[in-house]
Amino acid sequence: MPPLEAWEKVFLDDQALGKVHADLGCIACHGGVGGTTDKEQAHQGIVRDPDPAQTCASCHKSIVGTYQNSLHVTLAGYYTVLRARSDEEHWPQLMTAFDNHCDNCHASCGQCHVSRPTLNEGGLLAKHEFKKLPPMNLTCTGCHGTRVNDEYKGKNQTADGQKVPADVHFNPGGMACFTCHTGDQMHGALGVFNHRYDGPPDPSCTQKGCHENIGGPDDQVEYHTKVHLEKLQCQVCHAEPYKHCYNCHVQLSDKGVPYFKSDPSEILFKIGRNPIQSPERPWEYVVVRHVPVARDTFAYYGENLLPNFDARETWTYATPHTIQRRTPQTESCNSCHGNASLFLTEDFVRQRTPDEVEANRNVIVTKVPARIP
Amino acid sequence: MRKGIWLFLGGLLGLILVGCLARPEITPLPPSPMLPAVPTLAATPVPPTETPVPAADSSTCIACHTDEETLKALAVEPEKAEHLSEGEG
Repeated sequence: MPPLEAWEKVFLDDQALGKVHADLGCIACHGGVGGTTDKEQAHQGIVRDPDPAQTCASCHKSIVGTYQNSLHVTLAGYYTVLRARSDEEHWPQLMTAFDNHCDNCHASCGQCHVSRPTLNEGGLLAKHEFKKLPPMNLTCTGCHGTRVNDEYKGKNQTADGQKVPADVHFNPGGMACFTCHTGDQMHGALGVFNHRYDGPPDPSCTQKGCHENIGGPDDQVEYHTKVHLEKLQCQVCHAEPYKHCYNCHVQLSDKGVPYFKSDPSEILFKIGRNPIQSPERPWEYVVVRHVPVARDTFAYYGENLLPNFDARETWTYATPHTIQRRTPQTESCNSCHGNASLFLTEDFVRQRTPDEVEANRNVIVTKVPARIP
Repeated sequence: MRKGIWLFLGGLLGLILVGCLARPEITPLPPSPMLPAVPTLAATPVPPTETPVPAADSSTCIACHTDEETLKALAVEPEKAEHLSEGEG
């Protein structure tokens, strides 16, 4: 996204606020001192990102009542995986690393509806206009850029130079993020979840108004057999290759500035066994993505901070944003059957991430479905 | 006739009560088997909040923050953070 100069970040149009918000004035929400043109004096006690409970809640009570459940606020996804891989002894050191490198991934009301996220250095979206629908390119993909943005908009290519097309929902579908990821989901109105894939799929491909007739009497797709629909997550057939990241290490500079180094990413397609199989996600096979964690990701902060590293897979359940009706997998039966290159085999894991075979035991495919004569 | 109406209404009330009692209990889904529990937040009750009151005259704030030239003169570019990171975040 284009960077903003310092003055642009705080340049507003009082007409853009809309009457209701404008009538409140600046100080009611942001604090500070009125009646002076001295910058330092005017900014005393200023609050850049007002507390929703003290401001937004007066009108938007139901949303403020649940938004603290949102994964954007709880960051529960991070805590879930770190708790699984670490232990009580190493937790304090790990949390120091977390505070330095991960904790700024929060989003508040204002960081979607008024300004760019702080993670992206902030700046008003549209001169302090309150955007009911946040502009996805300045908010959602400002943070979810590396994987989601590039996949959804077709900006990736494979190692052999093949361009990966944009997700069909984006082009030609023209669907913005919030078409599927609803306000209720963003605002934590659907409940408390431990991570992105906790609970039933949301969004679900087959939810009302989407592909709800899949597997029904009118479904004419030859490959939509009962067995396929029961055993395969939709993305197994309908995702194109997507991004995998490796070996991220975090540390502080001599001046105390947090930074990271990660190995080059790869664009691959891999089918693994479903590590979170449940009545809500019953499929035996799902697509898996390598996440950038390594055994020594946090080594700068102490030795062996992830002592239970093997407790969780590093090739994780994924829902890539590279959906197409027709993919290399749908070309013929034997595009998948007997094609070991599509599957997360032990040989592949040993070759790509040799230190992580045990961590991925429950996602490694031990028997590739047989070729059909 | 009136007695009949009362009998009818009484019967209707009884049916409603029986219907309520017979409502199937909603069984929560079993927890996801993948992970140990982590602390979670319950829906946070929001205390009654009064609409923020315009506490003071904001006209000087508005005057400055809508004046491009003034902002250009006063806004301070934050010190650029060191960009030492390598690879995709």
